[in-house]
Amino acid sequence: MIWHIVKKDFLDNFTSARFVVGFLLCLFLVPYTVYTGTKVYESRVEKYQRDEKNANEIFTKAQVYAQIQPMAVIQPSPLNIFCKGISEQVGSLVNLRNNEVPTFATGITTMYENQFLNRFVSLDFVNILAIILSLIGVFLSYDIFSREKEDGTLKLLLSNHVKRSDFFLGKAGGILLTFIPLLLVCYILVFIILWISPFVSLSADDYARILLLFLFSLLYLSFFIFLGSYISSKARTSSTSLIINLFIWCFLLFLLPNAMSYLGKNIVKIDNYSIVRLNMGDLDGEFWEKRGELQQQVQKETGLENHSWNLCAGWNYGPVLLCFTTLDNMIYERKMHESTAPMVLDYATKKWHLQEAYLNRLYRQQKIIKYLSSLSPSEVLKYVSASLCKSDMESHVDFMNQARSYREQFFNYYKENKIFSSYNYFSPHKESEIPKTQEEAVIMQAQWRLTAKPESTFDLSSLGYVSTSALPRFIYNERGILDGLADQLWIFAVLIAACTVLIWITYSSFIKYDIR
Amino acid sequence: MIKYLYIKEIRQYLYSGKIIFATAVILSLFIINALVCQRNYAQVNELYNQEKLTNQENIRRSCSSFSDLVFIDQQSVKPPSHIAFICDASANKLDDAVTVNAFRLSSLEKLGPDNPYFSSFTAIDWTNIILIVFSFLSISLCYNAFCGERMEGTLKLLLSNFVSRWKVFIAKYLGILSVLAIPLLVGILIHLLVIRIGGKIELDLNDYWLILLFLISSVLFISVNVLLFLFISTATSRPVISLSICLISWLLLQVVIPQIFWTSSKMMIKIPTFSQVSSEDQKQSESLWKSPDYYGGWNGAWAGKAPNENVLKRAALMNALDASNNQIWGDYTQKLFRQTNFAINLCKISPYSLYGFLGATISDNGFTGLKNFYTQSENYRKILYKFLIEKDKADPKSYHLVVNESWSFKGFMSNSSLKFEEFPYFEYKRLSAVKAFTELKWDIFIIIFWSMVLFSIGLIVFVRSDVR
Repeated sequence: MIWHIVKKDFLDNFTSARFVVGFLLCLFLVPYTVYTGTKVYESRVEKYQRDEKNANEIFTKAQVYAQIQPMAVIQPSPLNIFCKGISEQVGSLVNLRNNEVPTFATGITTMYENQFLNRFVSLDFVNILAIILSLIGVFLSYDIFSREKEDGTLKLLLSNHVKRSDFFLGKAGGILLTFIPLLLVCYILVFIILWISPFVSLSADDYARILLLFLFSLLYLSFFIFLGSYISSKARTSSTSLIINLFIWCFLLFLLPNAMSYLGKNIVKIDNYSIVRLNMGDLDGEFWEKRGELQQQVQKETGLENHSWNLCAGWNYGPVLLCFTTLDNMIYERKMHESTAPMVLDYATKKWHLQEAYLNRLYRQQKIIKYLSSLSPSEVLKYVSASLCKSDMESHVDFMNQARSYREQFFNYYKENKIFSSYNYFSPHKESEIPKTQEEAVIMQAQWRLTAKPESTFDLSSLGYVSTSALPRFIYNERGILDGLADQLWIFAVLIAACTVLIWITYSSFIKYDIR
Repeated sequence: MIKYLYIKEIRQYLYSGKIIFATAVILSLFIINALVCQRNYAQVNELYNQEKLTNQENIRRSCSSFSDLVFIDQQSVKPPSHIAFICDASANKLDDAVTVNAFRLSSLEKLGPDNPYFSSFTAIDWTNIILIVFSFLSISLCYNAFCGERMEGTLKLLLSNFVSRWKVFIAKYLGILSVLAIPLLVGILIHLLVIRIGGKIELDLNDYWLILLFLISSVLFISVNVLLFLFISTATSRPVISLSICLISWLLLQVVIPQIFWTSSKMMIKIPTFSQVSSEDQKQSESLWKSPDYYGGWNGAWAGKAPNENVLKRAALMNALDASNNQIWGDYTQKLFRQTNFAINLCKISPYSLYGFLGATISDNGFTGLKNFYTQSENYRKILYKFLIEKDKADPKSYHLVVNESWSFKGFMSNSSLKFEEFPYFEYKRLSAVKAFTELKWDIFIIIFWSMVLFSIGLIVFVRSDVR
């Protein structure tokens, strides 16, 4: 009997005007949204390729080790087309400097790079699911019982040998079954567009994630179907049921998440990052003071009162390059770098404590808002989807943490291999090539200009490059599905629990339903 | 007769549960918004005052030497809008500052607090309360206004008396509009009262005029909503069908159409990317450095002597570099503005988008506020440059080379002191009510036009409809 009711309801819904309208809306909106999302993804891939090339050139075109301030770049995931989460607002490139641990990623670039346009909310596939499909769910379920009661068919049906539980299961199954082809069509449309794009290639892991997304979207829709069914079992007329359903839908999708974000922002307040920068500036001041003292000490040790150089590029303790400079000056510089470099790294760690405290507040604020807004099923869908599509905060934080660990590993390599104490850290000359006197240095530079014919003052390409093959490189290890889902497991469980409760109360309510 | 029908409609709706419930929701939202916007305002205002003081302190310190004053970088911050509660327009996500000196203006940057780790939520401001809650309330009041009465037979009964159809239509329209205006007015009054008691935001006369302008626009917008849904109700036979069509129309006008036009406009008007503009700037700069008209070298022994030909050529090079940079980035910013303006104008096809942008313009937030701020900052840079040039010309000891290269040209410009009070400051001029009205007159006209069209269609359909 259940199957007959399921089949009848499925056919009824499938041919109803509201389903057809909803279906057509999806048929138009889904390809449109995915197409624009694909275009944005393509531009992000292009940008990634440029960044990756630049990151490699840092290693291949370095003339001294000090010039190597590596970059960590993350490849955009094609799954961001499904759910962009925070991926477009956090950047994909991290500059790893010796004097500062990175707080944020840079390189926030979308296709058209018009910040005025890009800052406004734009829909992605998951947003379409969250808004449009949930509304279709409400539309199909608001009169599941009340319409049968109004038409008198419920009375007729239950006067036969049909159990109420069978009827309930048949009705619920019918609507759920209606949604499966609708969802499938949406996903197939997405796949067609993705397959056409030459930039998008999905891995087995991606397909597994999409499958989970599909199952989760079905669960999300079930929530609205059962909510609609419950209200239908309580309301006297279909119109009343629809009005109540719509108010709840509007509350859950628009008002609740926004109210909760307000509340979250008030529970954990954040300051401007400029305050952190100011405090970091104090530490920089302290560093310069100490460096001054160190300079005097090194000057005493080397007996060099006035130091000079013939060709210098870069800045004091960053990517500096010295050439055609006398040996006494070079000894002084080497000693300075030997003592300053660990101090630079120490101060970067001190500054990091301030940055970390600020970041922790940002994370806490995000988490509070996430917990509070998870009262809305649409937000639950967005969080779980962002996690599956690698566009949530946790994925980005994981990338940032890997970049920071790599920075530490990189500069530790310099320490362990005494690169900071070598001449090659700041000069392309070998020790034996360094001129002894200023006259020698001037002649050497003049000869170089004559033979190498540099295009500009700082065109030093003829001086050769340092070997970087042994230096550690950044490789990003993506989080697995389970790692990502572990963070969202509790909200997933809450939604399942909410659906179960709704099924139970709808069933109880229907059993007691007055069919007259 | 209209009066009686009108009173009947008002009574019928005022005592209904949905109006009482919706009014309670609306008032709560207005109160929440009043509390939150005061806190946000205080936070951003503190930052603004802090930056203003820092700028003034830097200027005061440098006033003893003209050449120091020339190279001061000021951080101009857009002050928070007093009436941001009307429309937040993602103000906390948008840039709010520029770095400006006499020679260059940076691109817009973000200074205020922002957490990039969560997607932006829609603010519960006046515009959004009206766009979402009032629209839903309009739907719930209008969807069965005619088709419901037709189904119940009361319409037949009413029209069998000597009542003209147009009178019924007008009475229903005015009745629903009045019922909706009550929570709107009460909500706004309570909001303003909370703001006054809080004392963190001081509203002046201009603000009240702007609020009045917004209120009038809001009533007109609600009227468009009511007329649209009344029209649907007259054209349909069953309340459920009417409700479904109302909802689909709302979804199309509020979400789908703006979204499509917003993203389409990006494809219709192509602009160069940031990296393309950067490389163009770099190329232009390289060609200027290599140009035989200029001199890129430096011999380090210029200071204190009269400028020779090389110095003058280098000064010309620096000026040309500044002019080229300002031209390239200025053009790029104007292109961004044009693309955004196009997108906004396209989205205004939907009255919902139009109303959203109208709220943002009145509250001087969002793109309009940012554009005003950027334009004013650009003008300020020109004023500052002109002021410095004139001051330098007045000094007979100066070689009059006010050039953007602090390490080499300080010696070739005036070194006299300046009075702190003389120095022009950047003061952001907020949008006046008159200017707001001038900017928005066409938008208001479009809303009135929508109302008239929907009123006419609704009335015609109702007059011609079969009430049986």
